Amino acid sequence: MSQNVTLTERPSEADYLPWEDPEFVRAPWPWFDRLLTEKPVLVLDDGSIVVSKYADVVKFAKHPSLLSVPPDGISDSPWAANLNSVLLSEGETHRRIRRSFASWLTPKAVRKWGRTAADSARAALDRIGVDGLIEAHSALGVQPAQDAMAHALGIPTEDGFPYIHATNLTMMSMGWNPTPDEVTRAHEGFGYMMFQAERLIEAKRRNRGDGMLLDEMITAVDEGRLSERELKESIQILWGSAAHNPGHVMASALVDLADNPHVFTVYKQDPDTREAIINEIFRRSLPEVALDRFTTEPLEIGGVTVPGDGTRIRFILGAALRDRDVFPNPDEFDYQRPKEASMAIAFGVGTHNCAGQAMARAELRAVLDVIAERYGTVEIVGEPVWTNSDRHRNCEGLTVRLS
Amino acid sequence: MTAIKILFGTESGNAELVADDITDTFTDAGVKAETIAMEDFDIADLPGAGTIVVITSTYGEGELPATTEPFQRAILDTRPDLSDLRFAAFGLGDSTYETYNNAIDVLTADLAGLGARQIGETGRHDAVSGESFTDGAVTWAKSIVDAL
Repeated sequence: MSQNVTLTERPSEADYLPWEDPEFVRAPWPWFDRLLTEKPVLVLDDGSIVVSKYADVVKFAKHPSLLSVPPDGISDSPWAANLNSVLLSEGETHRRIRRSFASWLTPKAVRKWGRTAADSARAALDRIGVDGLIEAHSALGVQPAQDAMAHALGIPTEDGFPYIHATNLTMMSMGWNPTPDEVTRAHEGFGYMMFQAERLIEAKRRNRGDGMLLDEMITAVDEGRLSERELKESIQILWGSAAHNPGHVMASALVDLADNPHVFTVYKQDPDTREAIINEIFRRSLPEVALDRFTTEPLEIGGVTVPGDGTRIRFILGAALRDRDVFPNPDEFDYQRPKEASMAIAFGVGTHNCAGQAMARAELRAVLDVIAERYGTVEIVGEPVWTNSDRHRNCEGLTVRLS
Repeated sequence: MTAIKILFGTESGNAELVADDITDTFTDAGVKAETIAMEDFDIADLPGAGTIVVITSTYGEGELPATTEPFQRAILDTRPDLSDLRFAAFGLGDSTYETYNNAIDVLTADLAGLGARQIGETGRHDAVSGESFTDGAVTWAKSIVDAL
């Protein structure tokens, strides 16, 4: 536990989870540590439940009785923009929408997109000057992922950064207590991404037949397998969020490699270690801090009976991934953890797990391999620009020197 | 010798990787094999296929994934005589579910119910174990190749 943090002796709910505390938002680990030890299933004053143990998250976060939205709906929340997407739909609807694009994101299919990401990264490295400096979040994280998705969709490449900022605005309204201003900004973020999705769909409709993912999904609409709204929301997510988490993971990876230079040496010299190193990067980078789910029937979790009345349960992935029962010395970068600790719940669990997981893995591996081809040392220059909430962690700037 | 057909059904593509690993292991052992997606396989060819391997993950609460479901439905609709068919089976699952590897068990029972004879034990990969798909597939394939 950090020596700089003072935690009170008799904790209140606010002590366990001080949602408004900037230090909690910046680095919640000491609070998560306390939660895991003292209140692995915490009942909040409003009846919401917070679950933090790895075993409980793995078992219950995918429970079939849980919904991604409250049973009463989300009214005018900005996230109503995704009600017809894989994010917030359930059952047969969710399955149908996800299957309209899933075959393009399999481990085998993403090998092509990984090569596109590698080409994008190589081009960025070619532009590095004699000072060795590069804006790495953008050039090595965001743009390779955006270019890879452009290839898969069959659309022109674009600067990915506006989508990062837009997605970060939407994520701020997913926090525990979003402010009215955060809600307004989230609407703006969705507005921007929906406008772009409509533009791309319209352009592809005027130029059909390339057989790539967007063309195929428009065919699905034409054949009645997908609605127009489902198409628009899917493209908003696939394109709008293509590089949001991959960009953050790359930034987090470079910080880890700068702080642990021996790991980069091992990565460079021993390709057999790369998958394990990448898994540890995912464990630590944590773009999605938590998952919120809502009950439809009573659930028994860790001795606590959760009523089935739409009670909100927050599963804190960030705590589960630092659960000492599974990850000894959780704050350390250790790529030699036992394989039983390698299940990457950073991508979620169950049918709502990240549909882009294979693509994110392929992109990260492809770009890190390109960096390792040419360089042996990463140095962080200046201060990274992180944008965090109690629900998400992301980056909007990271300059590094590669040598 | 006819190549052994390694049929896979999948939701997220992991069963496809397993199928390729099994094909490669058999090939290295001198047994001709080819990976075929279930959605690309004509059920009419099943009775005369000789020896096959079926591979499937389990989706959600014990369900058959996207490309296994139509394959199984076609078998149950046509009910072919499979008394000349031999098969081995491998499943991908997650033991935190009570319905762990249910899909491969359903498929195995359906094939056996139509007269097909299973070779060896059903292989099972468990996501919780942390074992790579390749390690699980190759270990099982090596254990079964001599019985094919």
